[in-house]
Amino acid sequence: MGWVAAIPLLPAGAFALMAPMSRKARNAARWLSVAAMAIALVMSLFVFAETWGAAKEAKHAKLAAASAEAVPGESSGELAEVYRGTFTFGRIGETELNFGILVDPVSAAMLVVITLVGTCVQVYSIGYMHKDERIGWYFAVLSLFSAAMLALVLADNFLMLYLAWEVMGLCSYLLIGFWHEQEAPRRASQKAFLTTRVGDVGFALGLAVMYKASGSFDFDVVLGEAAAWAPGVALACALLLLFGAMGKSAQVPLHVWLPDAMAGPTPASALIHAATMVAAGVYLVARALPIFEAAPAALSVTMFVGATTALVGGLLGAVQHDVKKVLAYSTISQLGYMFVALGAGGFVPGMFHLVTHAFFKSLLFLGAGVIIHACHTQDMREMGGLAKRMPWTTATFTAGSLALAGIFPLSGFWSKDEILTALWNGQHYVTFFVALLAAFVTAFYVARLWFRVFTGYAHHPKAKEGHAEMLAPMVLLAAITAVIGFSSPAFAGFLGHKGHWPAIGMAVGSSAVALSGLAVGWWVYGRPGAKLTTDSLKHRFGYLYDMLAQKLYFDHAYDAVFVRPFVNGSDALSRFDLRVVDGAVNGVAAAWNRLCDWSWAFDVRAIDGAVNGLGTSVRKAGAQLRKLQVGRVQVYQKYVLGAVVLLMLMIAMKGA
Amino acid sequence: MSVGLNSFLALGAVLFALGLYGAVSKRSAVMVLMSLELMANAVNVNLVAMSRFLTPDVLTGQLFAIFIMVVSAAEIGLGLGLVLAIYRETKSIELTTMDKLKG
Repeated sequence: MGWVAAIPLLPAGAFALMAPMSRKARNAARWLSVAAMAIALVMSLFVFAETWGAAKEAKHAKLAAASAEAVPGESSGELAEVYRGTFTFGRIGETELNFGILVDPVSAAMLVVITLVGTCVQVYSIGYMHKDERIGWYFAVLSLFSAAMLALVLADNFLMLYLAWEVMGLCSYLLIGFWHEQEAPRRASQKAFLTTRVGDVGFALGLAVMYKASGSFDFDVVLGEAAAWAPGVALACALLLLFGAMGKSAQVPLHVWLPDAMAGPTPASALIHAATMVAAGVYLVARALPIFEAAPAALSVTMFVGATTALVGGLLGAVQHDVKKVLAYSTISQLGYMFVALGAGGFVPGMFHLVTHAFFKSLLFLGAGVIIHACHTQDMREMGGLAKRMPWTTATFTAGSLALAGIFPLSGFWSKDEILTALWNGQHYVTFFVALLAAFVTAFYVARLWFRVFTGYAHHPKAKEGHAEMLAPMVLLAAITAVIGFSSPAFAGFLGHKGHWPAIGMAVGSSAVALSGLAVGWWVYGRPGAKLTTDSLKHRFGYLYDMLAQKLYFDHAYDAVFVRPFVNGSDALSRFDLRVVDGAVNGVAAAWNRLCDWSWAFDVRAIDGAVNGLGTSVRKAGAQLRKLQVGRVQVYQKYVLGAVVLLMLMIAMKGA
Repeated sequence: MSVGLNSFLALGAVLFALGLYGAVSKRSAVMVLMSLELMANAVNVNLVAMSRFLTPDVLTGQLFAIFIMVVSAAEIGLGLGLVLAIYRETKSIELTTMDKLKG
């Protein structure tokens, strides 16, 4: 199965081919990116099928062994490894740094999710972005992102995972700031990059702790040894990794970048900021779960962070007016749910919610894209009444909304139910009720979004339905959302755990909560004669509403504590630079200039003077000597005579 | 008083001095050529006298004197030719005017 490596290499190759092209050629070559993604999808499906078979065999073998030894066979959580290949790219001392590929059920499932959503988004983007003059670059970066995400889930060690993680961060930055002619996307891209970078520092430190503890980055080695680490080491490592995951997955208090990231193109938001990249944090924690289990406190922290985020994200989403920002806060909230599940030790519910969320949230974002195209605004106060104009979008968006709210039989119901069950069985009752409350809030803002967009007064009576290449991926995703929930027990079995159908009591309870949330949302926003202004809310809840509308003051606090002191410090350093450093440099330059002036003067006067003086004096001497040559023979005779006389005198005096 | 070598040498010296004086001081080119002839003959006198008194057995000096006469005859011919050519050009044979080759 060495060809697995081609799955991330295909989109990477598409990027490598497209990046150096001219803009015109690149725009024409966008099909390259789509084709690479589609081929990767087909290959991923093959990998998934093969892994599915292998997992089944492993399960049977295990059951046989268990019955032979007469041990009561509760699931051990072992993942069936299907393929492994390594490529050493560097060496530090005794340690080999590897690009390793590990195919097991988790990565196989992630491969399918990524390539499926990725293909849908790319096909959709052809319609959504067709007017953009830089569409080629958009597709190139999308390809690079897909390659990084695929490499991340195929990695067999934390170092490679980290490398892919950072490449994704770069792509996220590029896509959020895709329309960099405008101020908001530019600022948002920087904010996203810097905020996730804060988390990444934690991740890097976690890697250092891990390496110090076990001398390796390999999943096998690290996770195998984690239980034997000193509790402090495991705790530190787990918390640092969690911090990294919180940055990437936009968990409170590092969630501030995700709503702003909505300034990027909507399909990119669907792929990166809903389905895949933000889920990478969840994937990281899921992979590193043995480390967290070695330090139970870290699990509690994970659960606390997740529960806080689930509730805060939901509440903030309930007061936003921007369609995409509602969905962004919803994503934050749902990612919080996944963290809650992982914190409760619920590996399968967390992963399953990741999968279902990837499908229904990317569906919602793609639907939002069509709506934004139709209405030319993102503010849902200026929408309304779209149900009649856009039947396909309405149908698919409704499916996504109900899945998000957790209504049977759509996918969100199943995964949310599993999470709640895991919390109840783990006796985390406080978190359980926080999660229920978050589910209620989720249903409320879903109803708010739906009724404001699709019903009521039509601000855009001529809104048009999207093109076929935009609707087709949405229909596909809606179909998946509708049926994937029924795979819940099979999915658990695939991941090596014992699957089960939801308990009736839990299912009824969570459905009741979700329905009551929808009902409240309908009563406030959907019932005939509802007043669609925020004034009454402001009036009734006053300070509480302000607090939510100001996003719980996170941005203000960060601005005051981090950004402004930093900017001030930078200003001071800039002045220091201008005055002291530049002054010193300019002073040296001026001194050198002066020295050069002196040198020039010396050159002209002393050296040129000497040379010219020699020449002049020779010429003068020559002029004097010239006078001797008079041209008259008799004068020369006299010279000769004089010379002979002198010679003779000399001879006479010396006596020959 | 017998006529000895010294008398001849003295005669040669006097002739040479006369010739030298003429060559240096005369303004006419013809006169200078004549003075040069005088100096050549002073040398001839010396050569013949030296040969007669110092080596009477060989005639080297006498032969040399004849040789010099032949050469100076040619020389005078050439010199007078030059003087005639210059006279045709400038209507003058004054040496002081012949300074075309000065630097």
